[in-house]
Amino acid sequence: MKQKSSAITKVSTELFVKQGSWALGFLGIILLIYVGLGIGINIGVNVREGVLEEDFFTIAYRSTKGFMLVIGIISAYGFLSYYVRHGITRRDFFNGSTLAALYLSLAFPVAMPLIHWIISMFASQDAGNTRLLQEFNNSWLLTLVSYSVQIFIYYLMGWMIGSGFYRFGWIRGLGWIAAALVLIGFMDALWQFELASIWEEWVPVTTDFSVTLPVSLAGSLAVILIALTLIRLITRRVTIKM
Amino acid sequence: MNLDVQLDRISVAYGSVEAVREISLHLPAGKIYGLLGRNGAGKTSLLSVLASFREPTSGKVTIGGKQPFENAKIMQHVSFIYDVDYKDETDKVKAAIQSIARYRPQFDLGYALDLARKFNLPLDKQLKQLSKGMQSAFNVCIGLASRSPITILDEAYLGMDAPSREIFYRELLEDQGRHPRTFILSTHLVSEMDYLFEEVIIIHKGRVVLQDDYESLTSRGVSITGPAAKVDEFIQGMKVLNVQQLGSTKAVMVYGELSEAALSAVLRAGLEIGPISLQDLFIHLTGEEYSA
Repeated sequence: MKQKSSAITKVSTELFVKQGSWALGFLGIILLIYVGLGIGINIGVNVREGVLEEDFFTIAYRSTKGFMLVIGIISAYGFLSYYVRHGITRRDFFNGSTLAALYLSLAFPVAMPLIHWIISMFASQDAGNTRLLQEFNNSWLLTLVSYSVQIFIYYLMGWMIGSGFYRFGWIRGLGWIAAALVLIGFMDALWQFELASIWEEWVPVTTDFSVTLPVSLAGSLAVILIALTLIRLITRRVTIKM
Repeated sequence: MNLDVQLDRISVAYGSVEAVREISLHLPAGKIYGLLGRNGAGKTSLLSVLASFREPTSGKVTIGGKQPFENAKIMQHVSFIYDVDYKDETDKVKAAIQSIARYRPQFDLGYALDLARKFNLPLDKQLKQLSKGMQSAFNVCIGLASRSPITILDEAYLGMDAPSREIFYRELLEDQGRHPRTFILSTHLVSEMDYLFEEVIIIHKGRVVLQDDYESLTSRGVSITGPAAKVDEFIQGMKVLNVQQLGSTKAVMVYGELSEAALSAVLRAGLEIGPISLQDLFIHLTGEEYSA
C-alpha cells in the first residue's frame, strides 16, 4: 500500500511542478498584455469602452479559466500515456492528476492577489480593490473562493473532454463537449458570473434567482463529483494510445 | 520475486479484425525471448496486453501469478519500450531520464547516463530535436537502465545505425549477465539478433506457429543437398520447409528431429547436411506459401 500512495504523491508533485511552470509562463503573458494595454492607453490609443476599467486581477480571473481548460485537455492526452508507459496505473494517475489540479486551483488565488497588489503599488491603484469585487459583495474571500472553485472545474472539464476524445475518437468525443457545456452553464449560474449565456438561451428556466454561498458551494461540489466520476469511468480501463 | 508470464488463450480484436487469436504461452522468468513475426502478425497487440496498455478481448494474462492490468505492484515492474512519438516532447534528455527514474524501482541512473554517453546522446538537447535513431537510443537507455524484471523491447532499434545497434545488443547481453531479467525482443531483423535469443516464439496471423529454445530450434532443422532423386527418397514423411532445385541438384530444408540412423543413412548416400538459420525458419514459417 505504501508503494501505491507514493506513486500518487510522485505523480501529483511532478504534474504540479510542470503545470505550475506553464502557469508562470501564462501569468507572464497576461502581465505583458496588461502592461501593453496600460502603455497603449497612456499614449492615447482609442480603446473600447470598459477596457479602461480592466485591472490585472479582472483580466487574469477570466483568462485563467481558458488556461485551465487547455491544460486539462493536455493532461488527458499527454500525461495519461506517459505515466502508464512508465508503469503507473490509470487509477494512480487519476488520483495524482486530481491532486495536482487541486494544488493549482489553490495556488492561483494565492498568486493572483499578490501580483495584483504589487502592480497596484506601481500603478498607484487601490490595491484592496478590483472591479470584480462589486460582483461578489465586496468580499475578497468570496471572490477568491469562487475563483478557485471555478478554475478547478474548468480543469476538470478540459480533462473530461480530452479523455472523451482520447477514448472515443472525434465523433463521439464531441458529445463530451456538450456535457461540459451543460456542466459549465450550471456552474456559471451558481456563481452568477458572466451569467451563463448558454444556460439562459437554451434552458427554459430563468437564472435570475439569488443563490446563497452554501448553495453555490454545494452545487459546485456536485459538478466536481459528477465530472470526476465521468473522467474515472472514461479512463478506468482505457486503451493507451501508442 | 518470480515473475513468470502466463498467457492463456489471449485474443485481441479490433472490431471484426482479430489481431491476436487465442495465444497461450508460458514464459519462465529470466530468459531472453525473441518474438518474431511479420508486419501485422499481432506482435505489438500481444505485447500491449502484457504491458497493460490494453485488456485482451478474451483470455487471461498473469505475471508472477497475478493479473497485471491496473495492478501497481506488477505494472511498475513491466517496461514496454517502443517507437514513442517525441515530436512534442520538449523535455531535455537528462531531465527525461531523471523523471522516468522516479517511477522505476530498479532504475540505475548512473548506468543510464553511461549508456547515453556510449550512444553519444546529447543530454542537454530536447527529445523532439533528436534524430530518429537517437530517439531510439534514448528508448534503449531507458529500457536497459530501468532493469525492470519484465522488459519488452518492441523493434526498439528503429532508425539506429549499425554501430549503435551493436552497442545495444552488447549492452543488453552484458547487463543481462549482471542483472538477469525477462527480455522480450520483438523484431524482424532476425539474422542480426538471433544470437541474443534463448527462446524463440514465432507468431503468424495472430497465432503462435512455433515456440522453442534457440539451440534445439536450429539443431532440429537441417538442409539436405544432393541429387534430386536421392534427396526425395530421404525426405519422405518429413516436414519440408523449402525446396530449391538447380539442374539435378536439390536442396531441401526439413524441420524435425533427424534420427541417428537417418543421419548416417544420409551421409552414406553422399548427401550434404547443413544447418538452417533462424532466418530461414522464420521466412518459411511465415511466408505466404507456407500453410500449417
